[in-house]
Amino acid sequence: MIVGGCDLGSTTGKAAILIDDQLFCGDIISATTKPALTATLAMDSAIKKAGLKSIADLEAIVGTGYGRLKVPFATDNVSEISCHGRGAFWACATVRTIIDIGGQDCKAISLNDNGGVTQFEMNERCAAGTGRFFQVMAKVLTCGLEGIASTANISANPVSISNQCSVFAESEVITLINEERPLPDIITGINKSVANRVSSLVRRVGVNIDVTLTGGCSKNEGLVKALEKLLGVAFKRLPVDPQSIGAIGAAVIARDKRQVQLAKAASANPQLGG
Amino acid sequence: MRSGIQSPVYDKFAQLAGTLLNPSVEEWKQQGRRVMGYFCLFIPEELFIAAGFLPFRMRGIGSCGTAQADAYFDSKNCYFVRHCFDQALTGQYHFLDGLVVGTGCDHIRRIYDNWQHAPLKTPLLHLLNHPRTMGTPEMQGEPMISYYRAQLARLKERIENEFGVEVTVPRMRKAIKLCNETRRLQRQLYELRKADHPPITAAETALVMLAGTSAPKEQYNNDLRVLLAELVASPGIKRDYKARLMIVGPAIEDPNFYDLIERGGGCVVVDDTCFGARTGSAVVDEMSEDPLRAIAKFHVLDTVFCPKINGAHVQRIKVIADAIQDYRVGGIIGQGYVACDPWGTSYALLGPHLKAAGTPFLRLDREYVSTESGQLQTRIQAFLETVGGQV
Amino acid sequence: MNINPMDQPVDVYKQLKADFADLNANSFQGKMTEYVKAGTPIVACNDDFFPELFAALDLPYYFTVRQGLEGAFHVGKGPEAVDGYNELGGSSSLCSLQKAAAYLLARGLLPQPAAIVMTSTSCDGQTAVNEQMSNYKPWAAAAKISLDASFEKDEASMVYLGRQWLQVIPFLERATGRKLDWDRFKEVCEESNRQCELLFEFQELRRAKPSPVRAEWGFIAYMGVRWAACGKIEGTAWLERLFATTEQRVKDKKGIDGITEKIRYSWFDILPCWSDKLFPRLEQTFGAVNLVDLYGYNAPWPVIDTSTKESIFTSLAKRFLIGNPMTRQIFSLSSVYAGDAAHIAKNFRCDAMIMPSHVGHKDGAASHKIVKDMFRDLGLPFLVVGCDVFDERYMTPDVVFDKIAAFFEASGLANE
Repeated sequence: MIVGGCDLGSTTGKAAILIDDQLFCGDIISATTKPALTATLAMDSAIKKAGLKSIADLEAIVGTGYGRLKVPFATDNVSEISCHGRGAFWACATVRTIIDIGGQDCKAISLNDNGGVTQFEMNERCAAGTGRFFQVMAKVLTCGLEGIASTANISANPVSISNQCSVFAESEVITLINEERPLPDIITGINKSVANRVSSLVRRVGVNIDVTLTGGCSKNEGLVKALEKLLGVAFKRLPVDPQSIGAIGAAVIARDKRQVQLAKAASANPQLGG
Repeated sequence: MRSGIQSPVYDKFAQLAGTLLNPSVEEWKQQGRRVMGYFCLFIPEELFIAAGFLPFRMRGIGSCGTAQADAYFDSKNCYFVRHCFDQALTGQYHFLDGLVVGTGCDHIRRIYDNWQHAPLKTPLLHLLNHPRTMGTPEMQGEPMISYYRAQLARLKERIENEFGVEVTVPRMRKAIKLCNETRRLQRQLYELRKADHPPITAAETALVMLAGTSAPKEQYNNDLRVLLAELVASPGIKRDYKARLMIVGPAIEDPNFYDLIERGGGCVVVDDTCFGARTGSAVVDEMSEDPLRAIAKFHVLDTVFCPKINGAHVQRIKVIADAIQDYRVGGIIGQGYVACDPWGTSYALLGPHLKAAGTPFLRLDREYVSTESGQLQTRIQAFLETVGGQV
Repeated sequence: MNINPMDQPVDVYKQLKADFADLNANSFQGKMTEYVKAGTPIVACNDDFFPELFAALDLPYYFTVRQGLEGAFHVGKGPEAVDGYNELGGSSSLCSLQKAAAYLLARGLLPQPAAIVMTSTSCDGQTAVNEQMSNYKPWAAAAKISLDASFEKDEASMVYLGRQWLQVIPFLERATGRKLDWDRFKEVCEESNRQCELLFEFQELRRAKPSPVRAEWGFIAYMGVRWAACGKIEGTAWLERLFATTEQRVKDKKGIDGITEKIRYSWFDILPCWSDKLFPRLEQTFGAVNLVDLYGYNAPWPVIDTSTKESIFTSLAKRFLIGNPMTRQIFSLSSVYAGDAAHIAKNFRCDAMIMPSHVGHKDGAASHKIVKDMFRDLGLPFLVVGCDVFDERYMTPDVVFDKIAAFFEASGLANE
């Protein structure tokens, strides 16, 4: 069975294909101004990686993410909460708490032993604690997101960023730059500030191990370390690209839906049964 | 979403609900009659009807923003209040002959102060003190009932003096009977939603309820009877849904919110909201020798309370438990505005209670107008996937 | 308790502060741990109403507003309490003081009460915590009573609250085993009358130019005779000394040591928990002195009429609704809020008024235009500055300082 998932987020598009149990992830595509185009580019990349001829080879595709209703080739759409839950559980069945920090939001998801979502929390209308916050800071520090994520910029003497609002925090960072505080100290302080916000959200669903971090920000080791310290647990690193977990989960759900569909068709027409 | 209701009274309800200066109000004013605006459920329409007024429950429907209101209020203040006040500042409430503001929450009571300060030229502006506790069971509602009766008597006297009318006991009894009939008919409407396939959508129900807040009661009751007759005969809306839901929280003026949930696969069968089921939760004693006292008692002891009332949580748990059983509710959505401390705290108590009882609960902060916001849709969809157990 | 570490560099005031600490240590609040250990019945309240009654009953009590302050923010645990509350999923916009109180409650850190007395004052935040107290399972056995106060300030409304309070006496007697001695109660009320009269005089004294003491002393004086030593002669004696010392400073025309007073302003709300990071800087940079805060306000205290049982409680109700600063300001019409601000501006001869828009103070936020317009008509510079008077992370003291500095400069006060 060949199925796919497409996660159309606010800043990137991701796609994943499952050929039976074998996973192929496409490249992370930067969002264009046309959601359908972003989705197509993402899926084309996954199709190429999977060695398939075209999208017609896929029996079912689930769209997810912020733009899930705009995925033109999706046969169904499912919330990114469910997809992240399913994707992380598929990648690692011991995962019980997922923290996803995306471009515009961050979520904490709690799973039961069957991988079902029991509880979730999302941040409220605020850029602090999201990828957006890092983008703003990366611009101010002129180091790019790679600089913020770099392990070379982890410091033992982080600055303290008092302001909770990202607009004021930006001013605070500019002041720190003007005071010529070392870049690693500032970056570590920024990661700590985000970790504070995010950990608060996580505690609302409860910290049950294993805990894992998904989304683009999972590549920021400084952030991961700060979160691990605050939550008092070592995070489980997933064996797949954590940024594609949503798309992977969507593909897994597409497979489940397709199986149900086939089973229904078989019971309606016994001749179709195997 | 539409259920396929044929009756033209539904379109009438939709029109009444959809605008402030709706046809009923226009016609009323053209007849030279008076309109009394009021905030909050605990303010008795009966008193206004007995004085010859059309009671008009204040809303912000049609508001495009809060730019004007935000000179008086602040981003910390409730959206509902700001939108209502904005409508007032832009002249949309010119038809009011009076406004009674209840001492509800911190946001609503300041409408009185700012209305006075603006100033908005409404002939009568009155702040009505309402008790905010039921007291202990031993107190049996006293002295709160007596106090509220005294407040109502003051308001009655003021209306009589300002407008040269007489609010007699027979008139009050008649008004009570009329309003009770509305409550009974609305309860019948809700009863129909206990079915596996309710004959009316949640959004349509909301419009019917909203219409009742600004229409002359006799006509409204007659129209509602016509609608009920059609609905009783209806086979119900045949559609698949993931879960039967109850919505809890403050005023929902925008039926699109319900549509958002139902398009996502929910079936909203009951609610505990300000413009919804709470209005018909009980009836006033029609036989009382002291109608004002009967009304006071109704509002202090008998009705379902907003969480600003101390004691509301215990009552709410029971209301929800009964609703879960009677309406076979599978999940609860607690909606509200970020600025609302009473509801926010209520959810802090309700959430763990429902979790312990195994009832799925989603807490949803929303805007005044339910735009198709990605975050709102995602939350609702994810919740339905969780409740339904199937994605 | 660290209200403001910038003590007056005069020994007498250091001593007075130390004596205040003693009064506090010997108060119900100060001895709470002993009471808990001894299993003494304790009463939990939401507001500081009728301390005279508890003093007369010798019945330990506390109120949640004060717990949030002294149990969290004053011991450096404020942010932890606020974050902890947010994680519990309550109202995100709730006042951080209430959040701290609610958090302490949820964590089981408030003393277990034998009885809970709640009123419908002062704000939605307080009444929200009432609901939490009422439904807190570990306190299910506590006797509960809930009283209604009216926004009306007429005689009938005072009688209304007073009569409910009369019901509280048998309620407390049943729940705690204490018996009210009415003669003792009258004595306490009469001492309290003396204290409040002196308190009013002290607040009046602080109107002098230059200001003889910092604004914190208005709050400390209030706490001394309302929270720590209500109805106790040692409380009266302490306030008499504070009054005498300050009166001498006024006679000697002494201002705050080391500061040349150039800008007189009022911070018209509770003193922030981060006062030490703001006010000294304003003093040193601009010679700007905060004269009076919400609690140091010279509101007239209604006298307790001890002629009958009913008159005692009616006048106590008046005192609570009209005299108690928090209730007076919040639990009333905007005209009271605005009127009091104007009163302070005139009485204290302010050059400017600063009104913190405390996040969590919803009805206050909805009154700002009314107050602004009033000050525009009075021709007095007026600033509303958004902040959290308890949690400095919301708007840091530096940012608040910058806003006030810009205000002083723009209104020409800083250039004089």
